[in-house]
Amino acid sequence: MKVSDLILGPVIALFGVLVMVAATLQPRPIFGSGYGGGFFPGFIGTGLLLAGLMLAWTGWRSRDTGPLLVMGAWARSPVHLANAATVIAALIVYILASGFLGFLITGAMVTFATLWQFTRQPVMSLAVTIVAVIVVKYIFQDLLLVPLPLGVLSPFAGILSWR
Amino acid sequence: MEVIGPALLSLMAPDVLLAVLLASMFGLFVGSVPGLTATMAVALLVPVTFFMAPLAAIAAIVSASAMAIFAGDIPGTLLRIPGTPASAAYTDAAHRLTKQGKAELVLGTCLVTSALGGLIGALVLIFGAPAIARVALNISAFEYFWFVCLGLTSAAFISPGSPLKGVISLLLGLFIATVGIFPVTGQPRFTFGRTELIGGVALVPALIGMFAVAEILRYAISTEPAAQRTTARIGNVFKGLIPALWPYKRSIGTGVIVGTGTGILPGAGADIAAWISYALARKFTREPKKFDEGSLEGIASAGAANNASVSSSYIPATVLGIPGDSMTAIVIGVLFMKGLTPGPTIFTAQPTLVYGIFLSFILANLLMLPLGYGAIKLSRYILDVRREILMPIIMLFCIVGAFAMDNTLTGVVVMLIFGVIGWFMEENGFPVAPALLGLVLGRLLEETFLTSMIIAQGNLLVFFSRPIAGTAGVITILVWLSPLAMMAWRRSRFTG
Repeated sequence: MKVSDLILGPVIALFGVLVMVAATLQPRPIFGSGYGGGFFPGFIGTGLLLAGLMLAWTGWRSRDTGPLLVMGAWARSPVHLANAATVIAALIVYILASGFLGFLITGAMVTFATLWQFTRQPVMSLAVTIVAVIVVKYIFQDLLLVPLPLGVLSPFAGILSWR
Repeated sequence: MEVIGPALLSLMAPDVLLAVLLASMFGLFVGSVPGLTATMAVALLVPVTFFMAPLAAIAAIVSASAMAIFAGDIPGTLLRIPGTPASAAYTDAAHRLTKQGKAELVLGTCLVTSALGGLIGALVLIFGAPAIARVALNISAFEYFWFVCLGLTSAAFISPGSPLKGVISLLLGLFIATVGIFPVTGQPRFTFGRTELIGGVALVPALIGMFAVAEILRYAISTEPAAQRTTARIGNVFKGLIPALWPYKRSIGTGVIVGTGTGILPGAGADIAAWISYALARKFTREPKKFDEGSLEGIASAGAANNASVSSSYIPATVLGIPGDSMTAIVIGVLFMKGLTPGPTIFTAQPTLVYGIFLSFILANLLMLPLGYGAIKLSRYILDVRREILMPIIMLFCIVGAFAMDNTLTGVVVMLIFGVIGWFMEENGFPVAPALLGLVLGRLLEETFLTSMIIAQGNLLVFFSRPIAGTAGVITILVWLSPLAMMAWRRSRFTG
């Protein structure tokens, strides 16, 4: 997905302006120096504004040679669109559901869904998922003591701790 | 130098050795799978190193990065697909020789010159870093400010693509670094009232997003056909190697020097070292015809250069706390996480640890010979690993790794957001490394800037009043102005 500099430049410049405005809203210290939390971000905002304008200028000069938006070959291929959607959806589902369902169930769900989408082989995907989830659970939860959420499996916490 | 003994002992502790061994195997695997970069290997390793002692953690990162840079040569030689960007410079040359039936010789060359480059780079690191640190002890906030500026500027300018996009990437990284508590007033800044952001944007989830999740997304939409399977049978890669390499000792030496020099420069990493040394070997070769038809000369030179640069990039990272590339930026992040501040004082405060880290380069590059030999032997199987199976497993590791940093789902959210941003940036020609450097160094830059401004009482001229600071400041400003000068020069040539 290639967006023309003619669009990206103004977006970055606008973001720079937003940063500058947000910087001016920062309180200044009462004692000592006059340099508050907005001093340094003010420079960054100015930099982004200038760089964005320069990018827009380069985009304007090459406006005849490139279109405003070029989608890659994947955008016309349903399989590749579904691939990308599966990865992003898997991460969002994990964020939303892992607290309730726990790592074992949500982790297995998202890994299986992605494997199935990528390989189209359900049995192999299931086998790989089971091994992967158990290995990750053992390394992180039992060896490194990361408190991965148990969720609905909390009543079985005793059986599920292997240390 | 009297700390070398204790440092060696601490490196020989069983837990450190085990971490080095496992990380080496991990690095070799990730490096040899096309599409998985050395930076990704390091990014995936960080959540695990979080739970280790400082020396074991950094030694593991050192080993994984050195091994991954070498292992990138294996698919480059056998399949003509560089495993990591650092191998791209000589992939064509290496594959040309493979087609002539010389795969063993090429892989042997890559392995031995990588180890040699890494070892010499490590020696420069061990003897050079403390000397530079002694000078660096005298520097004040002004010098520090300019050094950080110079480091960040060269990172933005040297990175692939247009310097303007590098600068924008850097500024975005610096902006993200300002999120969180502002230490002077203790007030939250740009946190939108979210308590999760008070500590700032978590570095590790951000880098897992930028270097691993973005890669998974790129794979998901990649319409390129799967790589062909390798059929080459690999025998003893060391057979007849020394007589074959001996005529090219001068090129290998140049490669080591170029690699070590490039590594010290902020912003230029292993891939740039390989490109420069390959181009130099091509320019100064005594047999230009043979060089183009297929010769080990360029491969030997660039193979030594990329690993030498991995070692020497730790000089600015440990002495000044300024990373040379994304991998050392991650190492600096890990040092901060372990409560250690890189800088000249680290040599007096933590000498055993620093020399332990330096010696781990020697260990890793010596281990590279047997382990790399094993990886070459197993390459038929490693290269046949299906990426459509590997990517979802990596995704699971990413999720848990991002979560493990502070045991909240915020890490996973940050990872997802940075994954999408990283993917979009790369698609549109914005290099990601400057953003990472900005994110790691933003706080330090702001701190030294404010300290300097307070000392100078707002007088910007004081920034140039000390000799070293003045020189560094002038160089930085000249670099800033260089695109304008280039533009004016081009225009005058065009019209004149």
